[in-house]
Amino acid sequence: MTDAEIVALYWERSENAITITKSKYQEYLMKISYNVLANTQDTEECVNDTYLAAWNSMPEQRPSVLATYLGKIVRQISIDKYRKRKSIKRYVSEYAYSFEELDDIFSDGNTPEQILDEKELDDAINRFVRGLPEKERNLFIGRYYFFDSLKQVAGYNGMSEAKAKSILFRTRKKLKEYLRKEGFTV
Amino acid sequence: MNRLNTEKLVDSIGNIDEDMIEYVQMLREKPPSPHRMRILPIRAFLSVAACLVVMVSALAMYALREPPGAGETLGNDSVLAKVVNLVFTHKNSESGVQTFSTIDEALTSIGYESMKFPRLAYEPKTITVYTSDDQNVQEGAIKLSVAYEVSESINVLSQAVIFNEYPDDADRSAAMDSYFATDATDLSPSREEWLVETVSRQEDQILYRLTVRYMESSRVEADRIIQEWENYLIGG
Repeated sequence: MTDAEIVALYWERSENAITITKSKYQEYLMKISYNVLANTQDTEECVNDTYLAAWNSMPEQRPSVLATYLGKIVRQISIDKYRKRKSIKRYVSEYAYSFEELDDIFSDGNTPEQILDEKELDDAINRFVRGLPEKERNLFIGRYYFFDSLKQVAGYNGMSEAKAKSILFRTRKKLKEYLRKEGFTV
Repeated sequence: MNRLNTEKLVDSIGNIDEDMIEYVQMLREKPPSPHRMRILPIRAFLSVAACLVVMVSALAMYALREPPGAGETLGNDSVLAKVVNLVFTHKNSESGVQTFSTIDEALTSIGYESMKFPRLAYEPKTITVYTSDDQNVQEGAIKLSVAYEVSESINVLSQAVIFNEYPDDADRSAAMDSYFATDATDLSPSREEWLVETVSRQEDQILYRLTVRYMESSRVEADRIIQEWENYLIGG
């Protein structure tokens, strides 16, 4: 069944929509969530929450590529759960590693006087990522959007893990410099 | 003021435009096998090497037309072999040497899948790899060794490459020192930078890029460059 047909089921409020979504995208969503949480039970909860969120957001939304739409939802739900539980127990996940890599470069500006224009940041990140050479862009998205392991991102980009690590290091530094020029305090 | 923290950054990365996400998702769905992933750099290198063999053959034919002496190539004890020995013996003075009779064996020893070497005129007799825990070093050793075994003419080109990259004596010396001083166990950011800026550049790009430069230079000039480089290395 095509994405358009599945979305049509959501719009018709047919419960088959979730059943079919599950059979088609469960593994994909579990992978993204597990990269963040590294915990099967929490991952299953997040994926179920994702189906519910999709159910609640359609109609209104009519995504053309369901995988990307659901992936974005599960990513955010999983990160939210990670943040909520971080104080209780520490997850040793790819997200945690990715976060640490970024945190090494970007200072923690979580101060009371912090004011951040999130839309402005979204736009800046988009411009930066779009301007990257293709390999760098794919590595960056693989590592910091999907939170895939270094080994995995290197694998589907056809390079050694050491090379992927080096390129990502360079990209993080470039991002920091770019955001500075864009007026962000990092 | 737009003060940024890492969590905000992670959230914003989550809002990257969908077309870019979809493209990477497509790559994720079709991951290359570990076999393909690992031999890609070597395949790329072999493609370049095959092209070089053709170019070098043409050059050799041209050299035969010149007066005796003008087209001499270096013997087995070539400069590149000395570079390989110098660099990798220094880096691995305690770990010793492994010798392989085929490229297949050498590649397998560092985790590459076995592969054939069909596009070259002959199978190399012996590949020597100086062992190291650092994969960059191992790959570099293989590539240099392969270059050495494939063709003496390629060796000649490689020497010109190294020399041309560091035309100034001080810079060349510093580059070699920097290479020698690198600690394979050091994973600090500064070493990563060094690897990006020096090792990967040398291994993946310089050979081809400067070989082209060599091919464009006059043969007399190239021979002079090689002789100077050889004097530098051997003559001290």
